[in-house]
Amino acid sequence: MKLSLDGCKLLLIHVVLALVATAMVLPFTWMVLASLKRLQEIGLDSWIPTVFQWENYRDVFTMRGVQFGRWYWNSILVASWVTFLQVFTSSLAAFSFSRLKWKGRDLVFLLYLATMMLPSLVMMIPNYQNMIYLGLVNTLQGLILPSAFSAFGTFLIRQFMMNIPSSLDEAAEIDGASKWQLYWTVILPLARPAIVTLTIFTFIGNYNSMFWPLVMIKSPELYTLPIGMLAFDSSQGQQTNLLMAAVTMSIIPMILIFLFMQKQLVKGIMLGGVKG
Amino acid sequence: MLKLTRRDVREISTGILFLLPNILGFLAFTTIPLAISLFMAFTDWNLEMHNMFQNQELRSVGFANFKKLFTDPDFPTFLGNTLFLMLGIPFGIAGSLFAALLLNNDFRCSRMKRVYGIVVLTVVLIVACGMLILAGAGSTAMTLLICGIVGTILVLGSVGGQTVYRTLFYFPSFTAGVATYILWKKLYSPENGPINNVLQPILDHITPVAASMSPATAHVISSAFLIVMGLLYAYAVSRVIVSWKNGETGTLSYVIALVVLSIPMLCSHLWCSLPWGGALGLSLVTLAVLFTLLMFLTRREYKCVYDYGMSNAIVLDGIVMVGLFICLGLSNVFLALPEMAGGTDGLTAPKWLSDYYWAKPSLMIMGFWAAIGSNNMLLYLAGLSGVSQELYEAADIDGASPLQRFWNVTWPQLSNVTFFILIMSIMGGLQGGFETARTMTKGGPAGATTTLAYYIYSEGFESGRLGYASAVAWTLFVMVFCVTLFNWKFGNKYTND
Amino acid sequence: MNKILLLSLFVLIVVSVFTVLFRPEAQEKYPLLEWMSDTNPQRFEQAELFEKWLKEKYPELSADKELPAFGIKLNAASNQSTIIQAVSGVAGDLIDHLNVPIFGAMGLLHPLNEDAKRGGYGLDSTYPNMKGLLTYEGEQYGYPCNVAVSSFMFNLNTLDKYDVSLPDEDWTTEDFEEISKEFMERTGQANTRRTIFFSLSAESLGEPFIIINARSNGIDFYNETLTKCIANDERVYKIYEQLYRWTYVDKILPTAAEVASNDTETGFGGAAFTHFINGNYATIIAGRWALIRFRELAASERFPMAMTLYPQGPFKNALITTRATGVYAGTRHFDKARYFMEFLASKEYNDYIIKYTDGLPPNPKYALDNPEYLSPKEYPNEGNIHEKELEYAMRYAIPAPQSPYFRKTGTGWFSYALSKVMANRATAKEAVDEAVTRTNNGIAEMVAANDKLAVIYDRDVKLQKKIDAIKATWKYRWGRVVSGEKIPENWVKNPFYLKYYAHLGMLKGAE
Repeated sequence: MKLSLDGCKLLLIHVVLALVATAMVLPFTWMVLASLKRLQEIGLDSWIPTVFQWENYRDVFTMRGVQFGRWYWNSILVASWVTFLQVFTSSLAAFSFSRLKWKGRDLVFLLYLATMMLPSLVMMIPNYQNMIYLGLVNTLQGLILPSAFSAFGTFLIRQFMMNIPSSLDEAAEIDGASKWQLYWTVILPLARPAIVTLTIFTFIGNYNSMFWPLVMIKSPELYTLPIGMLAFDSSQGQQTNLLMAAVTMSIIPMILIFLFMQKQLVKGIMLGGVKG
Repeated sequence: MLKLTRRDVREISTGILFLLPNILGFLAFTTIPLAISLFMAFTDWNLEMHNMFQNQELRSVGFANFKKLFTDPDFPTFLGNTLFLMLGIPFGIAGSLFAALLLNNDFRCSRMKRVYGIVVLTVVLIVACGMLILAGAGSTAMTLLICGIVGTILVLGSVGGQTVYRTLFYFPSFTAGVATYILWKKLYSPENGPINNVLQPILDHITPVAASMSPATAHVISSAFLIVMGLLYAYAVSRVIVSWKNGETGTLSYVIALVVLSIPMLCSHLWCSLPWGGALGLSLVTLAVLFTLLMFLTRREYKCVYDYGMSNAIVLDGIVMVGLFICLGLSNVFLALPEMAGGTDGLTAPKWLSDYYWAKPSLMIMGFWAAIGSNNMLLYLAGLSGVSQELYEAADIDGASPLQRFWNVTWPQLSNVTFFILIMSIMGGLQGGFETARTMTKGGPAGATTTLAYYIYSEGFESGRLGYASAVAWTLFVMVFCVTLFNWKFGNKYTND
Repeated sequence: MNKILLLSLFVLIVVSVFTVLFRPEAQEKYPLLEWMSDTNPQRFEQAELFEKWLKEKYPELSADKELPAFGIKLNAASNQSTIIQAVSGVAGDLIDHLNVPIFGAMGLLHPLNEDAKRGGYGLDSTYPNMKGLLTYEGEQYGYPCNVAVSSFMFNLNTLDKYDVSLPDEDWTTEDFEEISKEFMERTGQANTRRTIFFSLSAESLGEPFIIINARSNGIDFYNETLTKCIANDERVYKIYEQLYRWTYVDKILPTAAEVASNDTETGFGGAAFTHFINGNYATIIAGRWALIRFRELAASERFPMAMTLYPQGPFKNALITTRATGVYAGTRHFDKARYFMEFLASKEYNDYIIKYTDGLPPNPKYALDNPEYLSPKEYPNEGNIHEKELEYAMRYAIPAPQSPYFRKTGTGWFSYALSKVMANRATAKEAVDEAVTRTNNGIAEMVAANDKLAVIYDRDVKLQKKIDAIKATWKYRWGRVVSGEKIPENWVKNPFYLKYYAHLGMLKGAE
C-alpha cells in the first residue's frame, strides 16, 4: 500500500481525531456497560457484563422511593413550559426592539443587556423568599415562572430580526396590517432559525438546571431529573448498576435532541456568539 | 423636558405593549429581587428567625455581614479554591483550539482513496469484533473493545468527515450536568472505579523501580525538574520582554504577563521540598523585576498601545504558569518517590475526590474533558473559517513552517475570539463550581472543593442565613463586574484589531 | 411557525391539566400524612403497619370498614435540610430528627405536653434521661421512633482465636490499654502490614469516646446551664493525648493510613462492620441497630457476640441517641398526626422494632421482661446484647452535650480538634482550646442575633452564677465532693450534671 505524503498526513489527523473522540466516548461506554452489569461485577476490571441485565432498566422504575417516571415527566413538562414562555415573550420583546421605532427604545435595550451580566446567584436568594411569600415553594409553577423571561433570548432573536429587510414592514403597512399582524404573519415565521436555536438552548438548559429546583422542590414526586438523580445517588448510590441505568436514561432525551438538531445548534452558537 | 408628540406616545405605547409580557416577568423576577438582595445584604435576615412561625424584628446591621466575610478565615480558602479551579481555563482553551485546528482540515480526498480506506478499516473492525467474541470476557476483551471503538470512529470519520468528529467532541459538553457528574463520580471511585482499576496495576509495576531508586538519584531528578522550571520561566520572561521591546506587547499586558508567570516561582518558596527551590524562584523573580525596572528607568519609548497583546499575556502565560506549577509538583513528587514506594503499601493510586489534595485536580480533569469540545471549539471553528486564505498563501510563499504559520497567521487572527472566550470563561469560573461540588463532593473533603458559589448555597439554603449569603453574592458580583469592566475597556479594541 | 407555537401551547395546556388531574395524590382512596424520615427500607413497612393499627384500634374513624381513615406517605432521601423546608412552610406533617429541641425552640413543632398525656406518649413512657432529647423549656416536642445506646460490641470468635478474654463490664481505660496490647501482641503482626486490630481507630472512636470519658471523670463539654463551653480542662486534654499515644506510640489502634488501605467495601455500617464480621476487628461501637446487618449472614456464618460499656473512669455512663418524631407546626392535620404519635408508643410498633432490631423500642415497657426481646430464639449468637443495651439505656445513658445556644453544623469542632491532634498539627491543649473558643464564639453570635433567645440566655447565665457560687463552697477529698450546699434541681439544664450531682448527692428539690 502506497500512500502519498498527503494521504499519510490525512491518516495521521484521522487517527489523532479518532483517539481524542475515543477519550470523549469512553466514559459513556463504561456508563452503558455498567448499567447492564450485575452489582457484583461492577468493580471488576472487565467492562463487559457476563450476562446483560436488561432488567436493570425496568428496576429503576419500580424501585421504592425512586419515582423515575415522575421525574422524567416533570422535567420535560417544566422544560417545555419554560421554553414556550421564553420563546413567546422573547420574540415579542425582540420584535419591539428591532422592528418598532419608539423613543427610548435603545436605552431600554441597553438596560436589558446590562442585566445579562448579573450573576444569577444574586437573584436566587430574594427570589426564594418571594416564592415563600407567594406560596409557590414546592410547586412546579414556582420552577417555571422565574426562568420564563430571559434577556439572552430577547438578545438572540433581536440580532436575527435586525437582519430581516425592512421593505417587508413597509409592504405590510401599505396592505394596512396592524403591528400585531406584522409580528404574527410576517416577522415571526421569518425568525424561525433564531427561534429554533433559542428553543434548543432553553430546553436543554432547563432540562439540566439544578440550582433552582434543588432549592425549590421538597417533595420527591415533584422532583425534576437532575435533583431526582441527586437524591437517587445519595440514597441508593451503592447500586451503581441501577444508578448508571438511570443516568443513561436521563441523557437519552439530550442525545435525541442533539442528533436531530445539531445543525441548527451549531449555526445558532455561531450566530449568537454566546451561550448562557 | 423631553417633548413627546401624540405620535411618539402612540409609538411608545405600542412598543411597550409588545415588551410587556417580558418586562413584567423581568421586573418581578430580576429587577425587584435585585433591589431586595442589596437590601438583604445589610440586614441579619435569617430564615430561622424570620419565617411564618416566628417573625422577629429585622435588624439592619450595616456592613457587619461584609466585615464578617472578610474576617472569616474560611473565605480566603474558598476564594482560593475558586481561583485554583480556574487554572484549568487556559488548558481548556488550548484544548478547544487544538480540536478546532484539527477539525478545520480539509477532509475531502479522492473517492478511490476513501473507498479503499473504508474497506480496510471495516475489515479490521470485523476481525476485532470477531476476536472480541472469541476471547470472551477478560482483559483481552477489554483491549479489543477499545480497539473496536477506535476503529468504529475511524470508519465513521472517514465517511462522514468533520461532522462525525465534531459531534463526538461536542457531546460531553452538551450533556454536562448532574448525570455526567454522577458518572464521573463513579469513574473516580477510589476502591474499584475504572480509572483506578487501570492505574493501580501500572503503579504496581513502577513501585519496585521507584523503590530501588537511590535518594541521590531522586535528588538529581527532582533538581532537574526545578532547573527545567527555572529555564522555562527565564525563557518565557525573555520572550515577553523581547515582544515588549519589539512593540508587540503593551506595557500593561507586559506587567500582567510578568505577574502571572511569577506566581508559581513565588509559591515555590512555600511549597518546594528542595531547600534551594525557594531561593531559586525568588532570585529569578527579583532578577526579572529588576530588569523591568531598569528598562523603565532608561525611559526608552516602546511605541505600542499599553494593552496590546492582552489575550496572549493571559492565555499563553497562563498555560506556562500551569506548566511551571506542574514542574514544581513533579520535582516534589520525585524527591519523595523512593520513600513513598518503599512503604508497606508501595505506590497507591490517588483517592481522587476523597483526597484533600486530589479533589480539585480531579474536578479540573473532568472539566478539561468537557471543555475540549465545548462551544468554545465551535467559536474557534467559526473564527478559523473567517481567516482569509490570502494570509496563509502569503505565509506559504515566505516558506513558513506549519508552526510559524500558526503563530504568525492563525493565532493573531483568532485573538479576538480568544479574548471573548477567555472573558466568558473567567466570568463563568468565578460563579462556577456549584453543581460539581454539590453532586460529587458536597464541597469536601474538608472544604477543598467549596467554591464561592457553593458557599453562597450552603449559607443561604442550608443554614438559612439569607442576609449573609446575599453579602457574599454581592461580593462575588463585584468581582464579576470588574471582569466585565475589563472586558468593556479592552475587549472592543480587540475586535477592531 | 405560528401554527407550531399555537399547537404547542394547546398541547402544553392539555398535558398540564392531565398532570394535575391524574397526579397520584388525587387518586388515593384515603388522605395521606407525609412523614419525613430516613431512607431505611423498614420505614415503608412501619407506615403500612400504622394503617393496619389505625384500622383495628380506631375503626370508628373511617366510614369504610375496608380502608383506614388515613395513611402515611413516606418522604425519604430529601436533598434539602429539614430545617430549611420547615421554615419555608413546606415540611411534611411528621418530622423525624435527631435534634427535636432545636425545632421546638424555633417554633417549628407542635407542643405535645397535653396530647402526650392523653395519648400515652409522654416522657414517662420512654427511657429516663430523655428529657434533653425531646423537650425545650419544659415542653415536649417529640417522641422517639427508635433509640440507641451504642457501646463496645465484641466478636467472641475473634477474642477466642487470639486467646483474649472478654473484658469486664466496668473496665477502665487502663484495662483497655492492657487488653489491646495483649491482643495486638498475640496477633503477631509486628513486622508486617497490619490488618487485624482490637478496636476502631481513634478517629472512629471519636467524639463519643471523648465525651463518655470526660463525663466519667466529672466534666462535660458544657456547664450546668449549657451557656458556656468548658471543655478546656486537663481531664479533656488527657483523653486526646491518650488517643494519640495509643495510635502512634503504643500502636494499639489502627492509624488513619491503615484504615484507609484496608477499606475495601462499603455497605450498611461501612467497612468497619465487614472487618468485624471477618474477624479483623475484635470490637466495634454499635447497638442493636447493627444486628440488621449481622442477621443477613447465613446461619453458618453467624458468630457469638457480647457487649460492654465504654472503658472509662469512675462515673459509669453511656450515650443515648434517638431519632424522634414531632408534628410539624405548619401541618393542617394535627388531629390526625397525633394518632401517629400514639402509634409510636403502642405495642404493635414497639414489637416491630423489637423483632427487626431497628434500635431499642421507644417504649421500654414492651422490652423489659419480654423474652422475645431479651433472647430471640433464632439468634442465640447475639448473647447479652439485647439485655445489656436495655440496661444501659435505663441505668447509665445520658444524651450527648447539646446547647440550645449553639448549632452544630457539619463536623463538630471537637472532632475537628481530634483530627488536628491525630495529624500532629496541634497539641491536645491547643486543639481543644481552639474548639472551645470557636464554640463560645458561636454561642455569642447566636445569642446576639436572636432577641428571644437572648432573654432566656441571660436568665440562664444568672442561674449559672448562682450555681458557681454554691460550687465554690464545696469541699473535696480525693477529688470527690464531701460537703457543701446542694444545688436546686431545676437550675441545672445539662442532663449530665443532673445525673452526676444526683449521684454525688449534691442535688436538692426544685426551688
